[in-house]
This record gives sequence, C-alpha cells and structure tokens, in this order.
Amino acid sequence: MRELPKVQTPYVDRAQQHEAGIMGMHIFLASEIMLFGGIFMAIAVIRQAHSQEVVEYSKELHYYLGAINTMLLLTSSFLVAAAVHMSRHARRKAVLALLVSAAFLGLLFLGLKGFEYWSEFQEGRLPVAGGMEKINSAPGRLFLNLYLVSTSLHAVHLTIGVIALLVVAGRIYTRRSALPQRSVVVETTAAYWHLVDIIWIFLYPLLYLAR
Amino acid sequence: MKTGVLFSVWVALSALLVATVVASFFLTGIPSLAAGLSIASIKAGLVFWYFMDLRGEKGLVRLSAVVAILWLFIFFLLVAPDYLFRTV
Amino acid sequence: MSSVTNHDERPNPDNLDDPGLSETKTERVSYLRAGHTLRSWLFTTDHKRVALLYMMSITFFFFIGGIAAAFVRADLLTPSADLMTNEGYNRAFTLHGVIMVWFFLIPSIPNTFGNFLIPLMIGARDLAFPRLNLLSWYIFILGGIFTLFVLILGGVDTGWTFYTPLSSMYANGNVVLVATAVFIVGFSSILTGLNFIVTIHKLRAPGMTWGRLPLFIWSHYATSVILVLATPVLSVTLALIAAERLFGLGIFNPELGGDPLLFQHLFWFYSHPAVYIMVLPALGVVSELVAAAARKPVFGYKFVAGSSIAIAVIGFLVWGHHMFVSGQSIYASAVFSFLSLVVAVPSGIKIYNWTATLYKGDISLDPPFLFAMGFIGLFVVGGLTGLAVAMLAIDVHLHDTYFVVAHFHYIMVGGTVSAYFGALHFWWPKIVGRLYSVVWGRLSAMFIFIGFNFTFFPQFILGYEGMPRRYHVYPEQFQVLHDMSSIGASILGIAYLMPAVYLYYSLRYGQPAGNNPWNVTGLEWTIPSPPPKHNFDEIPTVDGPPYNYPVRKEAKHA
Repeated sequence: MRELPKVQTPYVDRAQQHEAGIMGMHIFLASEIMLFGGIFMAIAVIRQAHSQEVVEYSKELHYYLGAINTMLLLTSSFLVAAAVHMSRHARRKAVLALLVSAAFLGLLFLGLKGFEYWSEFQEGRLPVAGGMEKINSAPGRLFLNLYLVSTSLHAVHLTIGVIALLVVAGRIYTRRSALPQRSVVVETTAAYWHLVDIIWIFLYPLLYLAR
Repeated sequence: MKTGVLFSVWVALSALLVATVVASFFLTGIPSLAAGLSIASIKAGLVFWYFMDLRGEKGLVRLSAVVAILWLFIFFLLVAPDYLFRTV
Repeated sequence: MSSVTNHDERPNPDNLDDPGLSETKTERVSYLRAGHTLRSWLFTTDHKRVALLYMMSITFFFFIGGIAAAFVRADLLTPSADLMTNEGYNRAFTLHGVIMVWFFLIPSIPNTFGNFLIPLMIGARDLAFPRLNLLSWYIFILGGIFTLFVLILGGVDTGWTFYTPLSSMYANGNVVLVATAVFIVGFSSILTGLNFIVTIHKLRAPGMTWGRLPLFIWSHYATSVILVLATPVLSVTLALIAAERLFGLGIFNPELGGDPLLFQHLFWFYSHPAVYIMVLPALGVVSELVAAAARKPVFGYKFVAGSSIAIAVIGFLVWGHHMFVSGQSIYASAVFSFLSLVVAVPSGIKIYNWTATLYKGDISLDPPFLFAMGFIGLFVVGGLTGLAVAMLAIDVHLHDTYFVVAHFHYIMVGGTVSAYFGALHFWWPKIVGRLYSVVWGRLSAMFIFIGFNFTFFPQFILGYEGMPRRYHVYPEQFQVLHDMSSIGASILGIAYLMPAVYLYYSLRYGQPAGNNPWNVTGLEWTIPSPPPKHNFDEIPTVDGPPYNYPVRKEAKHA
C-alpha cells in the first residue's frame, strides 16, 4: 500500500478515514475483551469452587517475577502512548525510538515469562508432562492449568503486539506511512498494545496474588 | 496531551502496582480479592483514559471501548445466581 | 451457451459497444463485468462481488447440510435402525447442525445481502474496510475446508452443541477438528460485524440520519453488535474444549474439580444470541419486503428499529433457558425464564407493526411478499412455542423433545430461510440486472411454505407425546408422524431447488430489470441494475424519511 495523496475508496475525506480506523480498532478490542472474558469467567468459577486450593497454589507462583513483568508492560505502554503523542506532531525519529523500545520491553516480558515457566517446570509446579511432581490436588492442578492457558494466551497476544509495533516502526522508517497524516496506524497499534497491558493488569492479581 | 501527563500516569500506575503487591501481604479472602480487583480496575481506567487517550476521543469511540466491559458485567451478573445458589 | 465456450467470441470488456453476453449498456459497465478473470473475483474488494462469493459458498454448504438432513429423515421413516448405525446417525445430525448453523444460517443474510446492500442503502461506495471484508470470506472458506476435511475423516458425533463431558471425554469423532473449523469461522463473523458497525456509523451519505436508515440497516446493526460481542466467547470456549481433549485441562470435568455446566453457560452465552444473529437480519428483510409490498410508510418506524436493538440486548440475557433441566440453580432458572418472556415483547412489536403497515396497503402478490407472509406466519408459530418452552414447568416436559426441534426449526428454517429466499427474490433483479419468472417465484414460495409445515408441524405433536430428539429408534406409535415429516421434507427439498432453476434461467434469458422493477423507495433502487462498480457516481444526499410513499386518501363511497 503506497501513501496516496487521495483517501482510499469508500471514504470522502481523511478525517472520516481516520475515525473509521480508530473505531474499527476499538470494536476489535471489544471482541478481544470478550475472548478473555471467557477465561476470566473460568477463573472466577474455579476460585469460587476451590478457593482454598487456589490460594495455596497461587502462593507458590513467583509473584515478584509477575510484578517485574507488570512493570515492564506498564512502562512499554507509557512509551507507546508517548509515541502516539509524537506521531501527531510528526516527530518521526522519536516515534521510531519509542516504538522500538516498547517492542524491546515486550520481548523482555516474553523472555522473563519463559524463564518463569522454566523455573516452575524445574520446581515441578508447571502442569505439563514431566513438570508436575509437586502438584498434588486436582483443583490445584486445574488452577495451574488455567494459569498456563491464560498467561500463554496473553503471551500470544503480546507476541502479535511486538510484531505489530515493529511492522509499524518499519513502515514509518521507510516512510510508507507518512506522519502525521497516517498517525492512525500508530494509534490503532498502540490501542491494541494498551489492551494487552490491561488484560495483564487483571491477570496478575487474579493469578499471582490470590490470598 | 503533554508527555509530562503521561509520565505522571506511569508513576501512578507503578505506585498502584506496589499497592496491590503490598495489599496481598496483609489481606486474605474476599477483602484481598476486592483490593486486587479494585486496584486493577483503577489501573485499567488510567490506561484507558490517558494512555489510550479516550479522554480526547468522541463519545462514540468511548462507547465502543467500554461496551465489552458492560457486556462482561452482564455475563458475570447472570452467571452469579447459578453458582451462588446451586444446590446440587 | 455456445458463445461462452467459444473463446474467440468472448466479449471485449473495454469495448462498450461489444454486446457480448450483455444486453444493455448498463450491464456492460456493471460490477459483474468489471473484470472477467478468476483473479478479478478472488482478489476483489468490491463488497458486491464479495457478497456473491459468499452466496455461492453458503449455497454449497446449504446443500451439504441438506444432504445430511435427508439422511436423517430417511432413517426416521421406520422405527428401527435400518439406514444408519447409531454412530452414523449421531454423525449425520451433528453434521447437519454444525454446517447449517455456522456455515449457512449465521452468514446467510448478513454476508450476502448485508454485504451487498448496506453500502447501497446508506449511500456509500463500499464497506469501511474492503480488504477486511475479503479476508473474512477467505477465513470462512478456510473454516469450511476444515469442516469438509472432518466430513471426509468420518465426522463427529457430539451434536452441534458440543456438550461436555461427552465432547471433552467420551466422543469418538474429530471433535478438535470441528472445534477448530468453528473457531476459524468465528473470526470471519467478528470481522463482518466490525465492518458493518463502522460502515453504518461512518459512511452514511449526507442527510442519511439514524431516523432515515432503512430498517434492514437497523437490524444488521443489531446483528453486528451480537457478532462482535458474542462470537469471541464461543471461540474461547471451543479452544477450552480442544485443550480439555488434548491436554486434560479439567475445567469442564467434575472429577478434576471442573464444572460441566460452565461449558453450557459459556456456550449458550454465545449460542442463544446466535439465534438472534440468524433471525434479526431476517426481521430486517421482512420489514423491507412488507413496506415494499404495502407501498406505505412502515407503521411505527421507530418502534420497529428500536425493537431490533432491544432484541439484540435482551437476547444476551436469556441463555440460561437452555439449562432449566441441567441442574443449574432454580433461582437462576426463574430469572432466565422471566427474561425469556420479556424478549418476546420486541418481536411482538415487529409483528403488529408489519400487520398495521399492510392494513389498507396496495398489496400485489409478488414472490417477495409471499415469502414475507410465509415468514410472518412461521415466525409467529415458532415464537409462541418458544414462550411455551421458556416456562419452567412446561420445559421439564418438553426439554430435548421434538417439540424443541420443531420450535427452533420454525424460527431458523421457517423464519430465516424463508426470509433469505424472500430477499433473494426481492433483490435478485438488482444483483444480476434481470427479471425472473414471477409465476414460478409464487409457486416456490407456496411450496416452501407447505413443505415446511408438512415437515415440522408433526414434530410438535411428536415432541408433546414424548419423542426425544437425537434418537433414530423409536416406538411404533410415532411412525405415522415421522413419515409425514419425512414426506414433507422431500417436498421442502424440491421446493428449495426450484428457485435455482428459474433464477439461473433468468440470468440467461430474463428481461433487463431497469433501475427499479418493483417501483419502491430506497437508495439501492435509484442506481442501475446491476450497479456500477463504485455504486454511486455522485454520493447522494438524502432529504426525506425512508419508505416515503405517497399516502393514498381513502376513496369516498357515495
């Protein structure tokens, strides 16, 4: 897609195209919230049915690693929000630096999450084959299953987010998306990144801090 | 929006993260869950309002951003009577 | 036909005076002739062409699902298991359900007529995200290929509802593959819904205010909201089923601390609103057909429009009525029973307002009108029997019987499929630019109505007398009614094939339709048939209410 001087087909003017893009992204994010909603419902039901085991197994998770990861995501969200601000003012180099550093923080998150899975596996607390000798109760295993499902689903979304940030950075670097006219690509990607952050904001206390 | 505002929000979010971890040391049961969820909601609100810049958007975009949260609330609200009062 | 096979005589698309297959100049500049290659269809971003791609695909799946239904009805001719094994019968009705729900009914009206008509009706050149629209078709096809793959591998036997723990622990079929297929096709739904919402918000022509939108648009808006908000919950539920089967997750398994009813909550939180995904577009179609047939402004426009939104919202609050006998809390059941009665109110508003619209209208018995009448009759029966099964006490007797089967077929087949054919007969001249035989149209409308009632009315009695659904061996006393139903199904099957013949014939030999063959209002009828590639040369400006027909004063009798 080249940056055309005119707007694309169904649109009359650039403002209309911009608003449609933003709104489309927010509706997509609504569907993402509903997707994770099903997982949150499952967590709620397990918490209500087996609160004792949930607390017991939640205490064994590495809450400080989760806290560091939360910090990484909050910081990356800040950088991405700043990138949106800069893109509206056509600060091309600042936008590039902010997007790339946010993507780097995202990669750090994924690395730390991988380390966390690995250490849980070593300790025998990861519900996968060969890694669960310390898991003694069925509800406890169910809770850790949900932990694994929800954090890995989140990690998948974060991976997509990292790729999206890098793609947008690439488009801005090669000037295929001119700023500030096409700041909408930064804004929509940023919105997605913030939502992935928000989902983690809820997953963290529900999984790591059940007491 | 000034980047200074964004930075203050980041500071607030970090403080709230510390608050939620500290709260988990002292609270148990329902109060702990309530504290965790309320702090998470405040953080999510800050991200929505300042980072996602909903405060600069029109009502329509705000609506489309929050409608799913409303729908999830409905879902939880109507599932609750089953799990709270089930006798079998 | 010979002119098609002879390549030397192919029409030159650049030469407007070359008649080729076209009869009129309008046809030569239409979207149908804008590019003749397969590539120009498979990589099109024109909403009208994507609509036709969808139409061909869902027609194909309608046949596959229909063949599965034919096997089911043939096996039910006798009380014993003579055509299929128990396993085979389970697989046949599951396949029928899965294909008809996700590969025909859900995409039926929105993805064909919605895709084609929404931009035309609101005065836009395309949907808001044309490439996303094409992508949604490819996702649909990918999901379809998965389903066909499952069919070749031997199918699945859980029923379309995938109830746990049957699906997660005991079923022998390819549950994971089918779940994947439905998971994939869900994203197609989400993208379509997203596209429609943004289009309706952002691309309305100047002067096309919310109060001037055609009712078809209102009902598609309501449908899209459900598509976006409900479908993801199904996706995650199916993913959990797959994880349960593959890794023994345990979330739906009571032995591992899980809860099978959680599956039903998650599944019906999608699947009950999904019923409204199927029927709301049909309600929108019928609103258009009724107004066009009566040639009067729609009675109580605001109420008909608002009732679409009300159905979409309240439709989210009733899912628990599928679980009255499942062991869920009786208090939850009471709440869901009450809310299920409430959702009947907006549906009733529509029926009354259509009737009031038709009152003293200039009605001509065109095929679209006959389909609309068929819809209203069948929808009323389906809706009222729905109220019966929404009652807690009655449902204990009728749950999982043929009464329920008949009830939802009256809504989904009698309702939605009738409306689909009504839409096909109403907008066919706009889509292809040719007129079809009205006489045959009337005949097929009547045959579909008769065949349908013949098939499904006996099932109400069967269910009331205690015939459970999903069994193919039954007591002999039920044979007469089952045979009536199977004979009716054959009539219905033939009636469904009739339009294929005369509509195909009209493509080749029909008269050019002109802009407005039915002489009705609406922006889509102000442009040529078939429409040019970009719909409107100039974006129109709307300056009046919808259905702005002249009101005829009543003649004074001396």
